[in-house]
Amino acid sequence: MYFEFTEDEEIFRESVEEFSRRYIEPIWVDIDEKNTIPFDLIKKMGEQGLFAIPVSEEYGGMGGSFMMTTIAAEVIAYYDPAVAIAVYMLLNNGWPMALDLYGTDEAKGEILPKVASGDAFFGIASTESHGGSDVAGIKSFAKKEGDVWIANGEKVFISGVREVQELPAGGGWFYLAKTGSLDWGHRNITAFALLPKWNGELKNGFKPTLYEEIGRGGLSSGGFILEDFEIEDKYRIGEENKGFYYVLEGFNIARILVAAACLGSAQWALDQAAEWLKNRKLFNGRRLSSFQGIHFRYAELYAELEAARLFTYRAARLVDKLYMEKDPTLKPRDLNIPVALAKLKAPEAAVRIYEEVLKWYGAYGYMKESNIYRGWLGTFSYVIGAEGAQNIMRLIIARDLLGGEYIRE
Amino acid sequence: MMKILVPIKLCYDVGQMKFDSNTGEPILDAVPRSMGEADRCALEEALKIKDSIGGEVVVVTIGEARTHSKMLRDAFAMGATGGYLVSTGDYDKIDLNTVTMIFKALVEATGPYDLIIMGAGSTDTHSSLLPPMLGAKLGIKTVVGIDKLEYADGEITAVCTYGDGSYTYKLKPPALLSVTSEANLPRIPTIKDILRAKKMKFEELSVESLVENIGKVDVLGIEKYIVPRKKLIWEVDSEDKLAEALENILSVLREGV
Repeated sequence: MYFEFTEDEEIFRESVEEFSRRYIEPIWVDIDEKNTIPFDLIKKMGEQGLFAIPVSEEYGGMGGSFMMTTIAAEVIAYYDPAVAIAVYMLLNNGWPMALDLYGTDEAKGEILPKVASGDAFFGIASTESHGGSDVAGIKSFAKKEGDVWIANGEKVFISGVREVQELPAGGGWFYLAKTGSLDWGHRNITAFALLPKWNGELKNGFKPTLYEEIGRGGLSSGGFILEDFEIEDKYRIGEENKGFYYVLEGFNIARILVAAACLGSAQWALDQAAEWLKNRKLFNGRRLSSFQGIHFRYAELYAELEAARLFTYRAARLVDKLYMEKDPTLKPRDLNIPVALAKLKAPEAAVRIYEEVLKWYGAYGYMKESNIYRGWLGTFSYVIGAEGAQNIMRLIIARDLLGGEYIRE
Repeated sequence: MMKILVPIKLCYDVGQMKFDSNTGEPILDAVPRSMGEADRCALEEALKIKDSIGGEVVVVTIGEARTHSKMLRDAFAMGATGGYLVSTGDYDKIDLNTVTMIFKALVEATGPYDLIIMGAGSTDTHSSLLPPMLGAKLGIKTVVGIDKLEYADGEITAVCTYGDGSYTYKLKPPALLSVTSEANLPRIPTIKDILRAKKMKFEELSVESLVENIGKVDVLGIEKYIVPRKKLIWEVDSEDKLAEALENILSVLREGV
């Protein structure tokens, strides 16, 4: 497959690079240390058009391509290798896009312009305490009473719990709850735009908790309990009991962006390493870069990164073909393997790169001052399973290649 | 209504230049190119004037559509209202005098312009000769190397830092002004600006339609400039000699090592 960017994608990449050099690179370590992204940076990102990029202009989005969104995630992660800012940005692109695809006009008109400006956050809340991969097993439940759904249940390991409470307009998540019955299965799940704080007002029945993560410091992670929380029916996303299908599409979108963030962060690590290898001298003045053992490993890691990059770009192009160009030959499930390949390979390549770079740096790499560990911990989140566990990616690939009927015996 | 011309050049990113380890020559094919830093600042100054009093900002470059169209669109995304591409495949070889005559002919063919604002020097070759040469050929007031530029009530105030101090000039259009990369922090086009610029078109003019004689200069070789280094050691065995040694180090640093 031959790959090249369009002229406007290249100009966009340069613009995001310049933005990131000016406003992100000087403060990324501080953000990781202080565990918060300053609101003035979020506002600047909104003014620059870095949120709701693939959302239609009609609903306050940028009307850009998904490839542009992918480029932005990759570039921002290069300048914030701890990936908090990139993940903040990608959540506020991927899930607004999913809302744009299946939400009601009223909800889209209300929510998306505020996300685009940076005044509100919109992420994903699906994981529950029994495990994030078992979406069909969620226990959150919403019951319809008139035009309102009464939601109860607990979500855990959710990004943006602090931001939703602190941003001026608030925001929330693409939220999943059982609506048919509580039985295990995916045909009784409905998706909603859950907005615990909206237009600056914190609503009743939302009980948040914040967790302390080991990496990706700038972006909060937490959980919440809903107790008789009221969701107006206009915030239902798509048809009742079909939320599972919508969230799978949302995950496919988000996984590409997560892969892109891992690529950007890992490229930063490789570039840092290149400078280190060229300048670090030992054994009577030999540069580290002159050792063949280093060449082999460096080339292998670069090859892994480039392979993951091509997987990611191909998947992004497919999203544009499916959703933007509305190619009639494509269906949402055609994204499954291309996306799973990108999400499988990019985080693992990133973590392998970080582990090797840390070793090349020697004891200095183990010092906080080197900052290498920040990218390692940040990208490791995506090997563990944020936005889909690695074994789930393997299952998706194997199921689609072998055929579902042959693997469920 | 103010009409401003901004000549821009596609420059090599010298920070990313790699050199052949045997010949010392740069490997130019792999070096990314984009609008020169000072040119971008010149465009920003022109756009600031347009933003405050309205008008047109037209960019011009010499090159090929294949290589230069992205830079022109980048300028459109920043806010330029129109653009010209003087097309030639040999743009890297045209001598400075011919470049001057091309821009003079373009000004005469597409002007008049109230202001010509350009980068004081290009990011790669940085001779800084084009602005004074073009100003002289056009016979208009020219101020070069401007670090701070203001336009108000029909008058330009330009502050330049030269070797012996800071100079402030006041002048009225028409004029040619060259600005340094210190002049401002250029705006970054937003995604909407970029998508808008995608629909804009630039006009192509052949180089032959503007000048008859095209002077060319062949670059025979470029070598990496290697700073000669000296190793100087001052041994200090007592506190009394420390001040003397520091004075010696300072005097060497002042001369340049």
